[in-house]
Amino acid sequence: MMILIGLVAIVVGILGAMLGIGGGVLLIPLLTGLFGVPIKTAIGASIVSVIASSSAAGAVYVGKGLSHTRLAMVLEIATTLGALTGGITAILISPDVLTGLFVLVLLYVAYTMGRAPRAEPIVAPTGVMDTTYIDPLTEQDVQYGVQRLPIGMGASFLAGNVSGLLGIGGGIIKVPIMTMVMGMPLRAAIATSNLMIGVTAATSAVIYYQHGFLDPAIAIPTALGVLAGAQVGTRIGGAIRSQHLKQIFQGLMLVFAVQMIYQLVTR
Amino acid sequence: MLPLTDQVRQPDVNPRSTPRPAADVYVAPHALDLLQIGDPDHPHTQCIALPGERHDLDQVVHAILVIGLTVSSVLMITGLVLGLVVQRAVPDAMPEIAEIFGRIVSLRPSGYLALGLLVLIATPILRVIGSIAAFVSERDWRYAAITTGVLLVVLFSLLIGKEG
Repeated sequence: MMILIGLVAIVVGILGAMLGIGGGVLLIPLLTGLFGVPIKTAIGASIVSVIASSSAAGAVYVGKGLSHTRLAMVLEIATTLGALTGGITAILISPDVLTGLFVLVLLYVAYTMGRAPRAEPIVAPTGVMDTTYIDPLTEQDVQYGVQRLPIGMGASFLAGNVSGLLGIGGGIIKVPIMTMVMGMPLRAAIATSNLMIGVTAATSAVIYYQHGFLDPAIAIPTALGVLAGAQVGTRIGGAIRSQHLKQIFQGLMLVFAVQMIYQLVTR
Repeated sequence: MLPLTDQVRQPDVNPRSTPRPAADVYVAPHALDLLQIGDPDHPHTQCIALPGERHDLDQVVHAILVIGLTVSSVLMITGLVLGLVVQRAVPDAMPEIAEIFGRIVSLRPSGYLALGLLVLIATPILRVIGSIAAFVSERDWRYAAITTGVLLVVLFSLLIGKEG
């Protein structure tokens, strides 16, 4: 079973890296549905693999200077507080409620992926935490500042909360807020979000660990598989037309949502 | 190590470097001494004498993430190989933290798997601690305090994680 979990995790890692989302939304329904893993143990395994994949991505982005490391530290206060409350809530509430909440997030992710991406806002220095990075495609300096930090803090708390509660990274909440509300370039937002996810997930992982929801036989093949898959996914990323991939992904999430609802109803 | 050497000898080569206060001008020759005398034995000491720059923070974060991921992957793969090849079974529960070291010495897979998982979880936390050190060395007290706040939240979750 461990080898099978590892193989599934590799596929999830490849898909996740190609689409730029963490694998958590796919991992948890696969672990509960295919392998009969209890939802809290599946969340524990997912949160560990989220730490692994976001740390790997974060290292690459930080190395290229794309992350706004200082802004990450500020927003991490909110994400870790959210992860703390989310992790404790997840331990306390019933598995059925947790599954129900997960279905809602699955549907939300499927919905946001279907929307056409809006045009990127024009970024400019604002005098608040101004920074620069070199765009890897155009090789030009991009200078920008941060807008509406309080809204960003609120969204970060929510993202951390969902992450701690359901074992996903939370980038799906942070990245749109960072680009559309806080005035960050998309590349910088993705890079900064990935850096933040590591410590956010670690905060709830220690809670899951202490309550025995980290099962090495499930968490370790998952984490290693996602890590390996992500390496492959980032390399073949451009080869397949991402529009088709998106539709397959959305279809999968809808199937998982229906399957989890079915599990809930028939129990 | 070579870029560091260049910076010490030609302080104004890097346009991003901030103007150096007098104290650093005094320190720089000392750093050169370290390079000539102590470099092979003390590869890290020369860094202490260099003034902090904005991008030092990113370098610290990058190094900690890469080292943490590498160490934890090696430990987990070792544990899996030991578990699958040698014992043909993998434990399904984490051992107590106090037991991990003994299990590693006796080559039991659960020790390697548990330590690998713990190193993986600790990596982002160590990244936060490393950032605090980088901010302190830059004398950026404000961000040192903010980052310490993040660390406190994580430590708090370690403490209260057992409740509930």
